[in-house]
Amino acid sequence: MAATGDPTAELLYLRSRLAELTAIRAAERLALERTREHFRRDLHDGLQQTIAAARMDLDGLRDLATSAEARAAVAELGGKLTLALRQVHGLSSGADPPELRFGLKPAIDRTLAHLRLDGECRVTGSDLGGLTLPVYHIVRESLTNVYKHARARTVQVDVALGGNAIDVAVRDDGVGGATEPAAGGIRGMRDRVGELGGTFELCSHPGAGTLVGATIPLLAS
Amino acid sequence: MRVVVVDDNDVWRPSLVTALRSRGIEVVADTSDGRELLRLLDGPPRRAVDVAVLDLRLPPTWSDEGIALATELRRAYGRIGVIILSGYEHDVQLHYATQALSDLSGHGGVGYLFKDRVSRDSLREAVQRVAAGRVVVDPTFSREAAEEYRTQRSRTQDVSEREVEVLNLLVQGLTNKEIADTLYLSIPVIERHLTRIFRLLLPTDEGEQPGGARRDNRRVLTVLEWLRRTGRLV
Repeated sequence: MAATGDPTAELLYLRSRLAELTAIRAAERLALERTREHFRRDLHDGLQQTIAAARMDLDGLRDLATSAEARAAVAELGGKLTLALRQVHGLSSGADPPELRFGLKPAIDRTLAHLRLDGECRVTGSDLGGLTLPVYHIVRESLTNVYKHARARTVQVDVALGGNAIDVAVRDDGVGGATEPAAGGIRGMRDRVGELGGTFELCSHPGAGTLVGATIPLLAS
Repeated sequence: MRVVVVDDNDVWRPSLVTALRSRGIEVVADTSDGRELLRLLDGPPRRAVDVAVLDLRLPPTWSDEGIALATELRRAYGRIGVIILSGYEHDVQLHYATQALSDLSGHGGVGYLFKDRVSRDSLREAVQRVAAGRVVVDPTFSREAAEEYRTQRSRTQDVSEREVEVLNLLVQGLTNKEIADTLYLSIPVIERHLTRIFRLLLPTDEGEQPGGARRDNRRVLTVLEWLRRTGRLV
Protein backbone atom coordinates (compact mmCIF):
# COMPACT_ATOMS: atom_id res chain seq x y z
CA MET A 1 0.00 0.00 0.00
CA ALA A 2 1.26 3.47 -0.89
CA ALA A 3 -0.35 5.61 1.81
CA THR A 4 2.97 6.76 3.20
CA GLY A 5 2.17 10.46 3.36
CA ASP A 6 5.05 11.11 0.95
CA PRO A 7 3.56 13.03 -2.00
CA THR A 8 6.18 11.84 -4.48
CA ALA A 9 5.64 8.21 -3.57
CA GLU A 10 1.89 8.77 -3.69
CA LEU A 11 2.18 10.25 -7.18
CA LEU A 12 4.37 7.39 -8.37
CA TYR A 13 1.91 4.89 -6.97
CA LEU A 14 -1.03 6.59 -8.67
CA ARG A 15 0.85 6.72 -11.96
CA SER A 16 1.68 3.04 -11.91
CA ARG A 17 -1.86 2.21 -10.86
CA LEU A 18 -3.20 4.26 -13.77
CA ALA A 19 -0.88 2.51 -16.20
CA GLU A 20 -2.03 -0.82 -14.84
CA LEU A 21 -5.71 0.03 -15.24
CA THR A 22 -5.11 1.36 -18.73
CA ALA A 23 -3.38 -1.87 -19.70
CA ILE A 24 -6.24 -3.92 -18.28
CA ARG A 25 -8.74 -1.88 -20.25
CA ALA A 26 -6.77 -2.29 -23.47
CA ALA A 27 -6.57 -6.04 -22.90
CA GLU A 28 -10.31 -6.17 -22.28
CA ARG A 29 -10.98 -4.39 -25.56
CA LEU A 30 -8.76 -6.81 -27.43
CA ALA A 31 -10.51 -9.74 -25.78
CA LEU A 32 -13.86 -8.29 -26.82
CA GLU A 33 -12.68 -7.95 -30.41
CA ARG A 34 -11.55 -11.57 -30.43
CA THR A 35 -14.89 -12.66 -29.01
CA ARG A 36 -16.70 -10.81 -31.80
CA GLU A 37 -14.56 -12.54 -34.39
CA HIS A 38 -15.42 -15.95 -32.87
CA PHE A 39 -19.06 -15.02 -32.83
CA ARG A 40 -18.98 -14.11 -36.50
CA ARG A 41 -17.27 -17.35 -37.39
CA ASP A 42 -19.78 -19.39 -35.40
CA LEU A 43 -22.61 -17.68 -37.22
CA HIS A 44 -21.13 -18.30 -40.67
CA ASP A 45 -19.75 -21.77 -40.23
CA GLY A 46 -22.44 -23.06 -37.95
CA LEU A 47 -25.90 -21.58 -37.79
CA GLN A 48 -26.01 -20.10 -41.29
CA GLN A 49 -25.02 -23.35 -42.98
CA THR A 50 -27.37 -25.42 -40.85
CA ILE A 51 -30.30 -23.26 -41.92
CA ALA A 52 -29.09 -23.36 -45.54
CA ALA A 53 -28.99 -27.17 -45.35
CA ALA A 54 -32.52 -27.24 -43.96
CA ARG A 55 -33.68 -25.04 -46.84
CA MET A 56 -32.10 -27.41 -49.32
CA ASP A 57 -33.80 -30.39 -47.66
CA LEU A 58 -37.09 -28.54 -47.78
CA ASP A 59 -36.67 -28.31 -51.54
CA GLY A 60 -36.83 -32.11 -51.54
CA LEU A 61 -40.08 -32.03 -49.60
CA ARG A 62 -41.45 -29.56 -52.15
CA ASP A 63 -40.83 -32.18 -54.86
CA LEU A 64 -43.00 -34.61 -52.93
CA ALA A 65 -45.77 -32.22 -51.90
CA THR A 66 -48.77 -33.07 -54.03
CA SER A 67 -51.63 -31.32 -52.29
CA ALA A 68 -52.08 -27.56 -52.31
CA GLU A 69 -52.03 -27.60 -48.51
CA ALA A 70 -48.70 -29.40 -48.37
CA ARG A 71 -47.22 -26.99 -50.90
CA ALA A 72 -48.49 -24.03 -48.89
CA ALA A 73 -46.94 -25.46 -45.72
CA VAL A 74 -43.63 -25.98 -47.50
CA ALA A 75 -43.71 -22.41 -48.84
CA GLU A 76 -44.50 -21.09 -45.36
CA LEU A 77 -41.60 -22.98 -43.83
CA GLY A 78 -39.28 -21.88 -46.65
CA GLY A 79 -40.21 -18.27 -45.99
CA LYS A 80 -39.35 -18.63 -42.32
CA LEU A 81 -35.99 -20.20 -43.06
CA THR A 82 -35.19 -17.38 -45.47
CA LEU A 83 -36.14 -14.90 -42.76
CA ALA A 84 -33.89 -16.73 -40.30
CA LEU A 85 -30.98 -16.42 -42.76
CA ARG A 86 -31.63 -12.74 -43.16
CA GLN A 87 -31.62 -12.37 -39.38
CA VAL A 88 -28.29 -14.17 -39.20
CA HIS A 89 -26.86 -11.78 -41.82
CA GLY A 90 -28.09 -8.90 -39.69
CA LEU A 91 -26.36 -10.25 -36.58
CA SER A 92 -23.07 -10.81 -38.34
CA SER A 93 -22.98 -7.41 -39.98
CA GLY A 94 -23.25 -5.91 -36.49
CA ALA A 95 -19.99 -7.61 -35.49
CA ASP A 96 -16.52 -6.62 -36.68
CA PRO A 97 -16.07 -5.02 -40.06
CA PRO A 98 -15.78 -8.09 -42.29
CA GLU A 99 -13.55 -6.37 -44.81
CA LEU A 100 -10.70 -6.73 -42.33
CA ARG A 101 -10.78 -10.44 -42.86
CA PHE A 102 -8.34 -10.20 -45.74
CA GLY A 103 -6.11 -7.59 -44.25
CA LEU A 104 -5.74 -3.97 -43.37
CA LYS A 105 -4.61 -2.59 -46.72
CA PRO A 106 -7.57 -3.81 -48.78
CA ALA A 107 -9.89 -2.45 -46.08
CA ILE A 108 -8.21 0.97 -46.18
CA ASP A 109 -8.18 1.00 -49.99
CA ARG A 110 -11.83 0.22 -49.87
CA THR A 111 -12.52 3.10 -47.51
CA LEU A 112 -10.59 5.44 -49.82
CA ALA A 113 -12.67 4.25 -52.75
CA HIS A 114 -15.95 4.56 -50.85
CA LEU A 115 -15.14 8.11 -49.84
CA ARG A 116 -13.96 8.90 -53.36
CA LEU A 117 -10.64 10.13 -52.04
CA ASP A 118 -7.63 10.33 -54.26
CA GLY A 119 -5.24 8.62 -51.93
CA GLU A 120 -2.48 6.17 -51.49
CA CYS A 121 -2.06 3.61 -48.76
CA ARG A 122 1.20 1.95 -47.75
CA VAL A 123 1.21 -0.80 -45.18
CA THR A 124 4.58 -2.24 -44.22
CA GLY A 125 4.99 -5.22 -41.93
CA SER A 126 2.73 -8.21 -41.96
CA ASP A 127 0.24 -9.19 -39.31
CA LEU A 128 -0.73 -6.49 -36.85
CA GLY A 129 -2.67 -9.06 -34.83
CA GLY A 130 -5.17 -7.64 -32.33
CA LEU A 131 -4.10 -4.10 -33.22
CA THR A 132 -5.47 -4.38 -36.75
CA LEU A 133 -8.92 -3.23 -35.70
CA PRO A 134 -7.85 -0.20 -33.63
CA VAL A 135 -5.48 0.89 -36.41
CA TYR A 136 -8.26 0.50 -38.94
CA HIS A 137 -10.59 2.60 -36.76
CA ILE A 138 -8.01 5.40 -36.55
CA VAL A 139 -7.44 5.42 -40.29
CA ARG A 140 -11.12 5.28 -41.08
CA GLU A 141 -11.97 8.07 -38.65
CA SER A 142 -9.17 10.21 -40.11
CA LEU A 143 -10.26 9.56 -43.68
CA THR A 144 -13.85 10.41 -42.79
CA ASN A 145 -12.58 13.73 -41.42
CA VAL A 146 -10.60 14.34 -44.62
CA TYR A 147 -13.73 13.63 -46.62
CA LYS A 148 -15.94 15.88 -44.49
CA HIS A 149 -13.68 18.83 -43.74
CA ALA A 150 -10.33 18.93 -45.49
CA ARG A 151 -11.19 19.67 -49.13
CA ALA A 152 -7.96 17.86 -49.92
CA ARG A 153 -6.67 16.88 -53.34
CA THR A 154 -4.74 13.88 -52.13
CA VAL A 155 -4.32 11.88 -48.97
CA GLN A 156 -1.53 9.57 -47.90
CA VAL A 157 -1.98 6.73 -45.40
CA ASP A 158 1.07 5.03 -43.90
CA VAL A 159 0.98 2.13 -41.50
CA ALA A 160 4.38 0.81 -40.52
CA LEU A 161 5.01 -2.09 -38.17
CA GLY A 162 8.31 -1.69 -36.35
CA GLY A 163 10.05 -3.83 -33.75
CA ASN A 164 8.21 -2.37 -30.78
CA ALA A 165 5.41 -0.27 -32.15
CA ILE A 166 3.06 0.47 -35.00
CA ASP A 167 3.22 3.92 -36.58
CA VAL A 168 0.11 5.26 -38.24
CA ALA A 169 0.01 8.47 -40.25
CA VAL A 170 -2.75 10.01 -42.33
CA ARG A 171 -1.69 13.15 -44.20
CA ASP A 172 -3.75 15.33 -46.47
CA ASP A 173 -3.06 18.50 -48.43
CA GLY A 174 -6.35 20.18 -47.56
CA VAL A 175 -7.31 23.34 -45.72
CA GLY A 176 -5.89 22.34 -42.32
CA GLY A 177 -6.95 24.15 -39.17
CA ALA A 178 -8.58 21.10 -37.57
CA THR A 179 -9.41 21.48 -33.89
CA GLU A 180 -10.05 18.95 -31.20
CA PRO A 181 -13.38 19.46 -29.45
CA ALA A 182 -13.77 17.58 -26.17
CA ALA A 183 -16.31 15.06 -27.42
CA GLY A 184 -15.31 14.82 -31.07
CA GLY A 185 -13.90 12.06 -33.20
CA ILE A 186 -10.34 13.27 -32.87
CA ARG A 187 -10.56 13.25 -29.08
CA GLY A 188 -12.03 9.75 -29.35
CA MET A 189 -9.01 8.61 -31.36
CA ARG A 190 -6.63 10.24 -28.89
CA ASP A 191 -8.36 8.48 -25.97
CA ARG A 192 -8.31 5.15 -27.73
CA VAL A 193 -4.64 5.41 -28.61
CA GLY A 194 -3.96 6.42 -25.00
CA GLU A 195 -5.78 3.34 -23.77
CA LEU A 196 -3.53 1.22 -25.90
CA GLY A 197 -0.50 2.87 -24.28
CA GLY A 198 0.38 4.90 -27.36
CA THR A 199 0.84 8.51 -28.34
CA PHE A 200 -1.38 10.55 -30.60
CA GLU A 201 -0.58 13.67 -32.56
CA LEU A 202 -2.68 16.12 -34.54
CA CYS A 203 -0.87 18.66 -36.68
CA SER A 204 -3.15 20.93 -38.64
CA HIS A 205 -2.08 24.49 -39.39
CA PRO A 206 -4.52 26.51 -41.48
CA GLY A 207 -3.63 26.19 -45.13
CA ALA A 208 -1.00 23.52 -44.56
CA GLY A 209 -2.98 20.29 -44.57
CA THR A 210 -3.52 17.92 -41.68
CA LEU A 211 -1.47 15.12 -40.20
CA VAL A 212 -2.97 12.59 -37.83
CA GLY A 213 -0.25 10.43 -36.32
CA ALA A 214 -0.35 7.65 -33.78
CA THR A 215 2.26 5.33 -32.35
CA ILE A 216 0.97 2.25 -30.59
CA PRO A 217 3.31 -0.06 -28.69
CA LEU A 218 3.08 -3.77 -29.43
CA LEU A 219 1.83 -5.72 -26.47
CA ALA A 220 4.09 -8.39 -25.16
CA SER A 221 1.64 -11.26 -25.33
CA MET B 1 -23.17 -35.55 -65.27
CA ARG B 2 -20.49 -36.53 -62.75
CA VAL B 3 -19.68 -34.32 -59.82
CA VAL B 4 -17.40 -34.32 -56.76
CA VAL B 5 -18.14 -32.42 -53.57
CA VAL B 6 -15.73 -31.11 -50.94
CA ASP B 7 -17.15 -29.41 -47.86
CA ASP B 8 -16.14 -29.71 -44.23
CA ASN B 9 -19.56 -28.85 -42.83
CA ASP B 10 -21.14 -32.19 -41.94
CA VAL B 11 -24.66 -30.78 -41.76
CA TRP B 12 -24.55 -29.04 -45.11
CA ARG B 13 -22.64 -31.60 -47.18
CA PRO B 14 -25.23 -34.42 -47.03
CA SER B 15 -27.99 -31.95 -47.91
CA LEU B 16 -25.97 -30.79 -50.90
CA VAL B 17 -25.26 -34.33 -52.08
CA THR B 18 -28.93 -35.31 -51.75
CA ALA B 19 -29.94 -32.19 -53.66
CA LEU B 20 -27.58 -32.97 -56.55
CA ARG B 21 -28.66 -36.60 -56.72
CA SER B 22 -32.33 -35.60 -56.68
CA ARG B 23 -31.68 -33.72 -59.93
CA GLY B 24 -30.07 -36.68 -61.67
CA ILE B 25 -26.49 -35.61 -61.05
CA GLU B 26 -24.12 -38.39 -60.10
CA VAL B 27 -21.95 -37.57 -57.09
CA VAL B 28 -18.89 -39.77 -57.49
CA ALA B 29 -17.11 -38.58 -54.35
CA ASP B 30 -17.92 -36.39 -51.39
CA THR B 31 -15.47 -35.59 -48.69
CA SER B 32 -14.62 -32.97 -46.09
CA ASP B 33 -11.02 -32.72 -47.14
CA GLY B 34 -9.29 -31.66 -50.34
CA ARG B 35 -6.32 -34.04 -49.85
CA GLU B 36 -8.69 -36.94 -49.53
CA LEU B 37 -10.46 -35.94 -52.72
CA LEU B 38 -7.17 -35.89 -54.63
CA ARG B 39 -6.36 -39.35 -53.21
CA LEU B 40 -9.79 -40.69 -54.16
CA LEU B 41 -9.55 -39.35 -57.68
CA ASP B 42 -6.03 -40.59 -58.11
CA GLY B 43 -6.65 -44.15 -57.03
CA PRO B 44 -8.30 -46.79 -59.20
CA PRO B 45 -10.79 -46.75 -60.71
CA ARG B 46 -9.90 -43.45 -62.32
CA ARG B 47 -13.10 -41.51 -62.57
CA ALA B 48 -13.91 -38.80 -65.03
CA VAL B 49 -15.39 -35.73 -63.37
CA ASP B 50 -17.33 -32.94 -65.06
CA VAL B 51 -17.67 -30.51 -62.19
CA ALA B 52 -16.19 -30.07 -58.71
CA VAL B 53 -18.44 -28.34 -56.16
CA LEU B 54 -16.13 -26.91 -53.53
CA ASP B 55 -16.62 -25.03 -50.30
CA LEU B 56 -14.74 -21.73 -50.32
CA ARG B 57 -13.47 -22.13 -46.78
CA LEU B 58 -11.76 -25.39 -46.01
CA PRO B 59 -9.22 -26.52 -43.44
CA PRO B 60 -6.55 -25.69 -42.39
CA THR B 61 -7.10 -21.91 -42.39
CA TRP B 62 -10.71 -21.68 -43.60
CA SER B 63 -9.95 -18.76 -45.88
CA ASP B 64 -9.84 -19.60 -49.60
CA GLU B 65 -8.61 -23.19 -49.75
CA GLY B 66 -11.49 -24.07 -52.08
CA ILE B 67 -10.01 -21.88 -54.81
CA ALA B 68 -6.54 -23.33 -54.26
CA LEU B 69 -7.96 -26.85 -54.45
CA ALA B 70 -9.72 -25.98 -57.69
CA THR B 71 -6.45 -24.76 -59.16
CA GLU B 72 -4.84 -28.04 -58.18
CA LEU B 73 -7.69 -30.06 -59.71
CA ARG B 74 -7.30 -28.13 -62.93
CA ARG B 75 -3.60 -28.88 -62.99
CA ALA B 76 -4.22 -32.59 -62.51
CA TYR B 77 -7.41 -33.08 -64.52
CA GLY B 78 -7.52 -30.34 -67.14
CA ARG B 79 -10.69 -28.47 -67.95
CA ILE B 80 -12.82 -29.60 -65.05
CA GLY B 81 -15.70 -27.25 -64.18
CA VAL B 82 -15.58 -25.65 -60.74
CA ILE B 83 -18.35 -24.24 -58.58
CA ILE B 84 -17.23 -22.45 -55.45
CA LEU B 85 -19.93 -22.42 -52.79
CA SER B 86 -19.65 -19.87 -50.06
CA GLY B 87 -21.67 -18.79 -47.07
CA TYR B 88 -23.12 -15.37 -47.69
CA GLU B 89 -20.71 -12.91 -46.11
CA HIS B 90 -21.43 -9.34 -46.91
CA ASP B 91 -18.41 -7.45 -48.28
CA VAL B 92 -15.89 -10.28 -48.49
CA GLN B 93 -17.99 -12.18 -51.02
CA LEU B 94 -17.01 -9.98 -53.94
CA HIS B 95 -13.38 -10.25 -53.05
CA TYR B 96 -13.44 -14.03 -53.20
CA ALA B 97 -15.75 -14.18 -56.20
CA THR B 98 -13.32 -12.01 -58.13
CA GLN B 99 -10.45 -14.16 -57.03
CA ALA B 100 -12.26 -17.33 -58.11
CA LEU B 101 -13.23 -15.91 -61.49
CA SER B 102 -9.78 -14.45 -62.13
CA ASP B 103 -7.91 -17.58 -61.08
CA LEU B 104 -10.19 -20.18 -62.62
CA SER B 105 -11.79 -18.84 -65.75
CA GLY B 106 -10.26 -19.44 -69.15
CA HIS B 107 -9.53 -23.12 -68.50
CA GLY B 108 -13.07 -24.38 -68.09
CA GLY B 109 -16.35 -23.28 -66.56
CA VAL B 110 -16.48 -21.61 -63.20
CA GLY B 111 -19.29 -20.66 -60.83
CA TYR B 112 -19.53 -18.70 -57.61
CA LEU B 113 -22.69 -19.28 -55.61
CA PHE B 114 -24.00 -18.89 -52.07
CA LYS B 115 -25.07 -21.82 -49.96
CA ASP B 116 -28.05 -20.01 -48.56
CA ARG B 117 -29.35 -18.85 -51.94
CA VAL B 118 -29.13 -21.90 -54.15
CA SER B 119 -32.09 -24.18 -54.67
CA ARG B 120 -32.01 -27.70 -56.05
CA ASP B 121 -33.06 -26.41 -59.47
CA SER B 122 -30.69 -23.45 -59.60
CA LEU B 123 -27.89 -25.76 -58.52
CA ARG B 124 -28.65 -28.17 -61.36
CA GLU B 125 -28.67 -25.33 -63.86
CA ALA B 126 -25.38 -24.01 -62.52
CA VAL B 127 -23.75 -27.46 -62.74
CA GLN B 128 -24.90 -27.83 -66.33
CA ARG B 129 -23.73 -24.37 -67.36
CA VAL B 130 -20.36 -24.74 -65.67
CA ALA B 131 -19.90 -28.18 -67.23
CA ALA B 132 -20.52 -26.49 -70.57
CA GLY B 133 -17.61 -24.15 -69.85
CA ARG B 134 -19.63 -21.10 -68.88
CA VAL B 135 -19.28 -18.63 -66.03
CA VAL B 136 -22.07 -18.49 -63.47
CA VAL B 137 -22.23 -15.95 -60.67
CA ASP B 138 -24.97 -15.64 -58.09
CA PRO B 139 -27.54 -13.14 -59.38
CA THR B 140 -27.28 -11.26 -56.07
CA PHE B 141 -23.96 -9.82 -57.20
CA SER B 142 -25.44 -8.52 -60.33
CA ARG B 143 -28.47 -7.08 -58.59
CA GLU B 144 -26.29 -5.34 -56.05
CA ALA B 145 -24.09 -4.05 -58.82
CA ALA B 146 -27.13 -2.75 -60.67
CA GLU B 147 -28.43 -0.98 -57.56
CA GLU B 148 -25.06 0.60 -56.99
CA TYR B 149 -25.02 1.60 -60.58
CA ARG B 150 -28.34 3.37 -60.30
CA THR B 151 -27.23 5.35 -57.27
CA GLN B 152 -23.97 6.31 -58.92
CA ARG B 153 -25.28 6.82 -62.37
CA SER B 154 -23.38 10.01 -62.99
CA ARG B 155 -20.08 8.27 -62.34
CA THR B 156 -20.58 5.33 -64.63
CA GLN B 157 -20.43 5.51 -68.37
CA ASP B 158 -23.90 5.44 -69.69
CA VAL B 159 -25.19 1.89 -69.63
CA SER B 160 -28.91 1.79 -70.37
CA GLU B 161 -31.53 0.06 -68.22
CA ARG B 162 -31.84 -2.58 -70.93
CA GLU B 163 -28.11 -3.16 -70.90
CA VAL B 164 -28.25 -3.59 -67.13
CA GLU B 165 -30.83 -6.35 -67.68
CA VAL B 166 -28.60 -8.01 -70.25
CA LEU B 167 -25.63 -7.77 -67.88
CA ASN B 168 -27.65 -9.36 -65.07
CA LEU B 169 -28.35 -12.37 -67.25
CA LEU B 170 -24.82 -12.53 -68.61
CA VAL B 171 -23.55 -12.75 -65.02
CA GLN B 172 -25.79 -15.78 -64.46
CA GLY B 173 -24.09 -17.66 -67.28
CA LEU B 174 -26.84 -17.46 -69.88
CA THR B 175 -26.00 -17.77 -73.56
CA ASN B 176 -27.01 -15.09 -76.05
CA LYS B 177 -29.97 -17.20 -77.08
CA GLU B 178 -31.10 -17.71 -73.48
CA ILE B 179 -30.77 -13.99 -72.80
CA ALA B 180 -32.81 -13.27 -75.93
CA ASP B 181 -35.54 -15.72 -74.85
CA THR B 182 -35.69 -14.34 -71.32
CA LEU B 183 -36.06 -10.74 -72.46
CA TYR B 184 -38.29 -11.57 -75.44
CA LEU B 185 -35.79 -10.01 -77.82
CA SER B 186 -34.09 -11.36 -80.92
CA ILE B 187 -30.54 -12.71 -80.85
CA PRO B 188 -29.18 -9.95 -83.14
CA VAL B 189 -30.58 -7.33 -80.74
CA ILE B 190 -28.86 -9.05 -77.79
CA GLU B 191 -25.63 -9.21 -79.78
CA ARG B 192 -25.86 -5.50 -80.46
CA HIS B 193 -26.35 -4.81 -76.74
CA LEU B 194 -23.40 -7.03 -75.87
CA THR B 195 -21.15 -5.37 -78.43
CA ARG B 196 -21.94 -2.02 -76.86
CA ILE B 197 -21.48 -3.42 -73.32
CA PHE B 198 -18.10 -4.91 -74.24
CA ARG B 199 -17.05 -1.64 -75.83
CA LEU B 200 -18.10 0.33 -72.74
CA LEU B 201 -16.64 -1.98 -70.15
CA LEU B 202 -13.53 -3.51 -71.67
CA PRO B 203 -10.23 -2.07 -72.82
CA THR B 204 -10.29 -1.48 -76.57
CA ASP B 205 -8.29 -4.51 -77.69
CA GLU B 206 -10.46 -6.94 -75.69
CA GLY B 207 -13.75 -5.21 -76.40
CA GLU B 208 -13.42 -5.09 -80.13
CA GLN B 209 -12.07 -8.52 -80.74
CA PRO B 210 -14.91 -10.33 -82.47
CA GLY B 211 -15.78 -13.89 -81.45
CA GLY B 212 -13.08 -16.54 -81.47
CA ALA B 213 -10.96 -17.91 -78.69
CA ARG B 214 -11.31 -14.93 -76.41
CA ARG B 215 -15.06 -14.94 -76.44
CA ASP B 216 -15.54 -16.61 -73.03
CA ASN B 217 -12.76 -14.59 -71.57
CA ARG B 218 -14.47 -11.44 -72.74
CA ARG B 219 -17.65 -12.34 -70.90
CA VAL B 220 -15.74 -13.01 -67.67
CA LEU B 221 -13.81 -9.78 -67.97
CA THR B 222 -17.05 -7.95 -68.52
CA VAL B 223 -18.61 -9.44 -65.38
CA LEU B 224 -15.54 -8.52 -63.32
CA GLU B 225 -15.34 -5.04 -64.77
CA TRP B 226 -19.04 -4.45 -64.18
CA LEU B 227 -18.76 -5.42 -60.52
CA ARG B 228 -15.60 -3.37 -60.08
CA ARG B 229 -16.83 -0.31 -61.87
CA THR B 230 -20.09 -0.08 -60.01
CA GLY B 231 -18.11 0.34 -56.82
CA ARG B 232 -18.58 -3.08 -55.28
CA LEU B 233 -14.95 -3.95 -55.57
CA VAL B 234 -11.71 -2.23 -54.87
